[in-house]
Amino acid sequence: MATGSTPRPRRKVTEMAVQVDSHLMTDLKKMGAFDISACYNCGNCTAICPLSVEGHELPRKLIRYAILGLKDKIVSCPEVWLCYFCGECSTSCPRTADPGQFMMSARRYAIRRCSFGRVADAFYSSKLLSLLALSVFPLILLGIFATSHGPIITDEVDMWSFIPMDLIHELGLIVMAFLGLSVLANLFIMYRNLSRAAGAAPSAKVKLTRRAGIWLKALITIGIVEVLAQRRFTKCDDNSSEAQSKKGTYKYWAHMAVFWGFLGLAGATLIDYGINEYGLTVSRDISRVLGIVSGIVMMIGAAYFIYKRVKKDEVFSTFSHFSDWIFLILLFFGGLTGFMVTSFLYAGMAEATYISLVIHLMFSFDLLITLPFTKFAHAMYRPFALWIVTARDQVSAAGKTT
Amino acid sequence: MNIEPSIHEFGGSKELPEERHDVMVVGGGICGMQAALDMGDMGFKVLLVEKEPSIGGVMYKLSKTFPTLDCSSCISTPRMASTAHHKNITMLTYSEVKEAIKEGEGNFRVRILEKPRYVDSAACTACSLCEKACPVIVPSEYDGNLSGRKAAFIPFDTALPKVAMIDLDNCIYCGACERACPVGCIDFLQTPKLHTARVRSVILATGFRLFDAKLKPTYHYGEYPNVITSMQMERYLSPTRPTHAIVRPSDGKEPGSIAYVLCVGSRDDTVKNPYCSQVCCMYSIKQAQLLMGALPLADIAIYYIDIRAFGKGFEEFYVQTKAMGVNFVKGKIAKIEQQENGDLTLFYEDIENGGRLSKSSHDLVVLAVGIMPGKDVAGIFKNDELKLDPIGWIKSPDEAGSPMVTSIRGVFAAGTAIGPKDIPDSAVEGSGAAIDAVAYLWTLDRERTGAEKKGGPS
Repeated sequence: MATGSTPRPRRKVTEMAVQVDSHLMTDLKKMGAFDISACYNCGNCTAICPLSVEGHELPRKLIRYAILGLKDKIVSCPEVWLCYFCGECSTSCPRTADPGQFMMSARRYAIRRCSFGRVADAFYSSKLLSLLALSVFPLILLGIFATSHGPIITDEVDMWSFIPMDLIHELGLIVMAFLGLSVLANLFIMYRNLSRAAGAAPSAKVKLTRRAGIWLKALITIGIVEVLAQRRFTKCDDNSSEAQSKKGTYKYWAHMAVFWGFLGLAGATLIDYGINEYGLTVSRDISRVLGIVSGIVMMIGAAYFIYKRVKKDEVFSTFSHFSDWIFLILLFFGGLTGFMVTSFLYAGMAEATYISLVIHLMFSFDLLITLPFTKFAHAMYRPFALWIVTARDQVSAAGKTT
Repeated sequence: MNIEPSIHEFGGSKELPEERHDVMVVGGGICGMQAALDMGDMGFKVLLVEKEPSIGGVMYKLSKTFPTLDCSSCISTPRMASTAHHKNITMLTYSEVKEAIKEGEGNFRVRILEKPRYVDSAACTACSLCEKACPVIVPSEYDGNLSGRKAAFIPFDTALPKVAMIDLDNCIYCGACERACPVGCIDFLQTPKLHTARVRSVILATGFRLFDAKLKPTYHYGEYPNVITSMQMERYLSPTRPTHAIVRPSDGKEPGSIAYVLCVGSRDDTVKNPYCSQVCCMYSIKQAQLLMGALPLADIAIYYIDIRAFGKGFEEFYVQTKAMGVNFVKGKIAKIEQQENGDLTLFYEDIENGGRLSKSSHDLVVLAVGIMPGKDVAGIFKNDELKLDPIGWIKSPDEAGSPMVTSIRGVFAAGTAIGPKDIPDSAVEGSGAAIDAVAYLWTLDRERTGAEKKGGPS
């Protein structure tokens, strides 16, 4: 083929090159409990998967990549993010290869590979390193508070004298800036990977304005349907029995609780910020009530997942990687300590309020600053992958009809 | 057939005088008959015990054998006749071995329970008048529930011994059979008989049991009428078939497209059967060929994980079937859904076409059910342990060298009691176990007389 009269474009030749990573399987197995070496390629998992659709089949395709050591394929296929782990593939696998747990492991692998400077490796390769990486920012924070806290007033509760509001805001801005840049960098790496998989753009026939319209529409649709309502999660339902289906429904609502609880807390923080910085003229009670309710909702959701992972009575919870625990613990304690701050504040317990405030800030800032590198990263990667896949599919469909 | 008598405990049974035999063969299928005939021909006294009302096992139900397409009942029926009429073979049908106690080398005391037929077997002439008189119709086990039988019935045309029996579970006690019987052989008061025998060796040819397709709920067997098992298709294709044409159960339509789902209950951890049943690929291919003859316009698709055509002439048979136009699709069927008109939708991943998620529609679906170990045979040995493998097949201490030997000296096993296999291999092992038993008996004789014996039975 290479001796044809028309020379191949250089870029394509490099794309053709396939790199085999003989350690891929070992790397994946370190992050999950599964036995895909037992796979005999019957395709049962793909055919039973409620989210598998023509053109985006999973999970057997990824199992094949893993067995062949095609690490670039694993990282660059959006199907990693299309799985919500209902577990029906695992319960019906004739080889008990546990494809569901494999998909989770592939997702962990993708998070590592899509992070800039491979920072996420620190949160996935070893427990010790992960704990160290997690404690970096809280320790810095502790140092700052130790050196620059205000007067400790004990006869009344005055948080903002103890820790100046300005300090929190400045720290918050730094964290948000770091977070924003990391998210952008990681999503860019993911975009590049996904583009490599898609190959040459099939959209040449579709006008630029139409393409832009499709991409914008997909963004809005995914934002509403998949981020806010998470409709695919409801489709991801092990329908093998009614009991299984019911479990899937609980899992969906627990996930919604964590998501909306977190969103509510972010909203409460923003309102508070608005009141303090820009003189937003709303009652501070709104942000307080929103914060308390959201915090409780998020804790209930996180507690459900912690309970399931301890009990190990569902396919998704039979195995837990330490990254799963870290994410849940940060979420739960972030919520709990926030709740404590509010409780102590109303109870007028000054010292307890200050201590829990410091702990609360450590947990919640840590949760945010490590977001792009921990399990939390799925909150950015998944919608992004869904957006790209949806838009590309629609563009290529439009290209076919015109 | 699984017709349990209403009284089947030792308590209500009659004890008969003790009999003596050289060997007890447990199981009267193609393998057990082979062992019994070989030993009988060599002059040994054989006791053949069969739990069903007739000997013959499974083979007489089948249409043709693979890969030669020989008529199955034309091979098994003469063999059944030879066995039933052999002067050295004593047959106990509709009987189960309850215990076998080894009291020394070449000395087993066995107790066999003969279930009541509620018909005097010696007097019955198999005239069928009771069958005609009986007003009760129930699904026929022989025809895989595709046709009916009476509560007073002869199991099937070529049954041996050919005697009527009464299925008391479905009997309405109307007495019509009793009035119709010209020899007065109906006896509702019959009780189980307990036979005690002393045998010098035992051959276990207890066979297999078919996988119950209901254990795979995503295939909806027993719920969707047009999902049938391969054994039911064997009946449709057999010369003694229940219907004159191949029709699907729901509406009697002649199917225009038939799908085979392979590995139902085989190579499947979810039903705890990790092994290959060894015959399903080939019998499905055989049925596909026969269907192309019976329904020349029908499309036939076989959905498989791997085609295992390993025996003599098997690969050629597979290639030939492919060339005849059967569509072989690599991909395990994950689930089946029924459409409004009774057609069925099959969901699978089309592995050989880029792993595309696919579904297909068929008029009739045949589940190629696998084979599993029979009922627990180890339990009859009260003093010794009959070793089984984790699945439940009888395990030889020397599988490569002496596959028919078991963990109990003097007890031999053959056929599908050891593991899944096809008809010729089962027959081979029947002969093999017979020769092992003969060697055992002669060795005992030599030890006893202390002399070198030239040959011949004691």
